[in-house]
Amino acid sequence: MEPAKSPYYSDGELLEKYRHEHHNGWLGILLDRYLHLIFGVCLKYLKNEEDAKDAAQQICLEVLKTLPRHQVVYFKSWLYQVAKNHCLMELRQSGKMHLLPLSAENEPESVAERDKKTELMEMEIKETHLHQAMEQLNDAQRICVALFYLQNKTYKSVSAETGFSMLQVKSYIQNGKRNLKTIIQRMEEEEQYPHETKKS
Amino acid sequence: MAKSISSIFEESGCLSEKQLTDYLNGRMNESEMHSLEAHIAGCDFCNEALEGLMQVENKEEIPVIIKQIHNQVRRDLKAHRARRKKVKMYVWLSFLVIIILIILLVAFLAEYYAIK
Repeated sequence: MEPAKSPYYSDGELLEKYRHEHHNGWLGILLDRYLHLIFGVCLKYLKNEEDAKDAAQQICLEVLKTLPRHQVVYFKSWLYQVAKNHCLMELRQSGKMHLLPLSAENEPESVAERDKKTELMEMEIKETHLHQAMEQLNDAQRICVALFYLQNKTYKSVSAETGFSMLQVKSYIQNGKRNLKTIIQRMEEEEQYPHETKKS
Repeated sequence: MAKSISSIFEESGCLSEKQLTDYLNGRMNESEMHSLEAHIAGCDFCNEALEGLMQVENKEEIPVIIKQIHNQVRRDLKAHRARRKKVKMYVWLSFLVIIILIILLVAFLAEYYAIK
């Protein structure tokens, strides 16, 4: 079947078709699906519309060249890393960015690590764990996470209610969510291997 | 209404161009805004894209810009396909020339040894 006349396929199915038929049209559909996100990421890092347009275009070509050499399973995560690395490389080459030392915070999360985390989070999460974990968040994160997730408020409403700026609210919610995951994982590990965790 | 606390870790698909532009242009109701914000709280790709798109001065122009990139990428893809086709043709042509040369060589050698 011609890619242009195809029905809706998942990313995985499109990847499979591309690998099987070697038709760039399938890859074109995949890239189209994420083009606005690629452009957005480029604009975030490069801070210039024209540079971001060029970079988005180059990233698409890079994907075209490199995808056949990689066994990509999660296209979206892989594409995000390709786009981000491309922008960071451009910034480095133009001397606009100093190299950051690699640490847990700024090291790109690998797909495998991400899968592991998702797998862990897909397991049934006990509500008691979540409540306990919420208690361990700092005040700002706990208040924002509770207002946002439990009362369905928007960033704007949370910002109006707490007096934090929109950016602060966004960051408290994202970091709060990330911290909750870590705390719950630790709790589950402690439950599974109580002796090992205590020793370490 | 308050949701279950476990909804914090619910996953949803990535944001479409329309969802992002509607959000940036203030064309969403509270519940739609909340769903979008809940997604970006757990998706680095969409979160960073939104941060980037916020920098576009005229947000209504975002679909036009994306269309321009799309058209350029299509042209690039077409050129790439044409290049690959050309390379393939040259490979076949070289293969054909080599076969003809081998046949000629064999014929020449056969003739040479026959005369001898």
